[in-house]
Amino acid sequence: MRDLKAVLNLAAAACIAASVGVASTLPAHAATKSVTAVLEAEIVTLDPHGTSAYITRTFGYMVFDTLFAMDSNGAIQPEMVDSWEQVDDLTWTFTLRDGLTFHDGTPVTATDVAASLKRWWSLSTMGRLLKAAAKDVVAKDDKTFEIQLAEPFPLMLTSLGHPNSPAPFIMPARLTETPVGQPLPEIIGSGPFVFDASRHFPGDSMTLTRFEDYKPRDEPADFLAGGKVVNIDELKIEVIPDSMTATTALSAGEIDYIQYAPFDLLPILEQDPNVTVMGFQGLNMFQGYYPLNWRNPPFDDPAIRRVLWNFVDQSSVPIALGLSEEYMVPGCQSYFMCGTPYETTAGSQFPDEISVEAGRKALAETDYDGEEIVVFQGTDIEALRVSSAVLYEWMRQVGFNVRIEAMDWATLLSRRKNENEWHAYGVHALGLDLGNPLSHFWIARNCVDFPGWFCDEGITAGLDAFKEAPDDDGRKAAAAQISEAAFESVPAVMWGQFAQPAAYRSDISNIIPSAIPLFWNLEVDR
Amino acid sequence: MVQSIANRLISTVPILFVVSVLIFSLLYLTPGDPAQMIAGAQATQDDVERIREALGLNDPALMRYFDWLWDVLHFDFGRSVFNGRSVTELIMQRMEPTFSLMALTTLFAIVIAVPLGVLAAWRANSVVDRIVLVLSIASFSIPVFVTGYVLAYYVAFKTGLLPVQGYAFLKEGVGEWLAHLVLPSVSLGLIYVALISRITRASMLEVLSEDYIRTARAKGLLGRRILFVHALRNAANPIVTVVGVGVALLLGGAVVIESVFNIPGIGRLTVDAILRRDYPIIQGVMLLFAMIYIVVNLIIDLLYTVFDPRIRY
Repeated sequence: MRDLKAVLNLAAAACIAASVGVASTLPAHAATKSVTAVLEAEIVTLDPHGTSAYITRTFGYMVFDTLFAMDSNGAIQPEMVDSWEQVDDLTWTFTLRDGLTFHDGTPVTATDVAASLKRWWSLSTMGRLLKAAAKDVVAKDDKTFEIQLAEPFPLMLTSLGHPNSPAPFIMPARLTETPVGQPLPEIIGSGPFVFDASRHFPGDSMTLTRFEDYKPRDEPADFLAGGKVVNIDELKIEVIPDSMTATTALSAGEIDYIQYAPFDLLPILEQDPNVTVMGFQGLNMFQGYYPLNWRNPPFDDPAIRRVLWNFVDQSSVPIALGLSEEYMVPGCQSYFMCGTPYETTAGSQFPDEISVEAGRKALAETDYDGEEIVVFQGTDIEALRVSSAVLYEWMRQVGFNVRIEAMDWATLLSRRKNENEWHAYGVHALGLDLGNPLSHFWIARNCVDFPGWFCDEGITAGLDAFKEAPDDDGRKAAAAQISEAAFESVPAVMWGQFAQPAAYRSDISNIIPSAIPLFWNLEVDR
Repeated sequence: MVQSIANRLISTVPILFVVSVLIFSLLYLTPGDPAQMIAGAQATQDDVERIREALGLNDPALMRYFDWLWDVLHFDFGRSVFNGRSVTELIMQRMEPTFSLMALTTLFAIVIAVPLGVLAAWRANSVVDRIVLVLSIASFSIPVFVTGYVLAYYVAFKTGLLPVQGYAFLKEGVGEWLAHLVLPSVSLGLIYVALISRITRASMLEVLSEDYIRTARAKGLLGRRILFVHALRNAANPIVTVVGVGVALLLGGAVVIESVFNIPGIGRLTVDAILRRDYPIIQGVMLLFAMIYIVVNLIIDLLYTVFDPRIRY
């Protein structure tokens, strides 16, 4: 017994000694000015043309550059382009800025631009509009290229500068030969950060370093536009899948930035003097939606789809997510979100009192015959899970015969292709996409082969009017026309506008308030 | 003996073949499409179809299986659908964190559990035994992730003695490496401490009631010698078995603890690959897991012969 005690004592002493020893080896912040960020997810696809995933767009804005970019007012400003001219209705010429180089040291040429645009426009919603109107993109000399049109295209600058994912990032012409879907053989852009392949550990971390030869514009940084001056040496992007762990790491100073601070931990972070929580407004907010499947009865009947306006209020889901009013827009009734350029409530079918009782009455006036409704529930992300659960409960109380099926996001995406398997699911998207009818996921995909298979002539006419409108007033009128049609035909029902706040260490300043994390312009005081 | 080991190793080939067929079939039957994951949620069906074509996912399943099998026979496990990295490279990157975690956890569990089990058996039905029992039940009952969060918050965050999360490779220094693994190993190891200590106690109790132990006592041997030389060695086989099974089970527990402590190990690689339907990685990792189970079982069988000379292969 005495021997056992001795062994245990020795073990305890060894543990204490080890703890003290290792504690002394803990890292201090190195002399290199670096920022460690945890983004919404791992950057899995590094091809900025190859996916509509937001995380790849974020990566794209760091490593690649765009011809035009959106400022904080939603206006499109030149970025890589120095000057441009609309020669006539069918010809636009553009001249690149001096000194643009790729990360491998080669100059950015008009040939690279032409090849990049032709690769980008096949997968992008905005790109398809340009592609449909264009005859060709031609390099006239090293710095000048021309877009030749088959028909007038008033949205030229919008399509080249809109951040709708995938955005028109420019890459060397040789990389554009890689088919979309296959990984790029190398990641070479001309953006303010360089991708360091030797420090990329998929599933763990990647490091971007400052591009020393980057020539920022003279204008101050303004959202995605303006001069992208990088004040740090490197940006380390870590993958921390567990939000609780990421939050603790932020408070402990092991990381500097979290793109999506967990809703339920916001009160804790707000009280931490070493952490700043950044909320967002307007286009930088999210809006939740329930896309509806028009091909699966009873949702083939627009009257039954319209019943949802009576009980899907615009606050319950954000509240269920744990958000306070500070981070939401209660009662927003606009398809194109509130606080955005195309905000409109035209044709709103929301009743004065949105409630389960109103839903019951509305349902009773339809031909609903008790057909089973299947709600898909994505379980990977909190907002997907909660929004679907709330919809299920609402529909059950209203009197629908409803069933909920939980699954991971990959399964949901796969199963939603089958028109007989589902009726609705909860999802959300960023205002930068939803704020414009042409990039709105459930408006722009009207009458194309997209799960939900919504097709409404009124929306088509409105989209055409929007594309052809000569000015912003015309576009606003077209947006109202689309809104009226959408409220009537119901491709999707919104469930709330909310922000996904970011959180960062308080020794970081001058951070650009953007739902797309941007790491130029910011300063680190340490 | 050598012949026996060789036979066992040869028998792994058909096992791995069956495993490969099962994995491939399951993936084929499971809903999910890597092309859709690459294209993103907002891609149209045409976009997804083009990517499927580019990735060769429209080829017949049998053709894809045999292509993959042929490559595996040449030690080429393919490339990630998403980033084009070699599966072997990705697995190799994750080996050290996971094996470090498993090794430290196993070491921690054995070092704590075996003496506890021996002590509990030696003082059966005493207060010491009761305390060990209560601790074991508590360790069994608390989920690994709860232990992990509590330790990360109170031990790492509140005291600042240890890092909250992450992993440091051995090349960064043993101190750093150990600092990042102490809490994950303790969190993951507690349940195995409970398991091994209970098995050790039961096994020791049985051995301690044997005649030769009574004889040893009658001869006046010291308690330490009786316990650790005569009793523990004879009680070792069940303990070795449970340690071996525990090592295999650790792979499952590592998935959780790697997420809680943000350790870039094989567990997380597997979960990420499954969530994205990155088929080549899933297939490669499953084959690796099968290999580990087979090797661990082989080692356990060989250890039986060390502790019990009567066993011969």
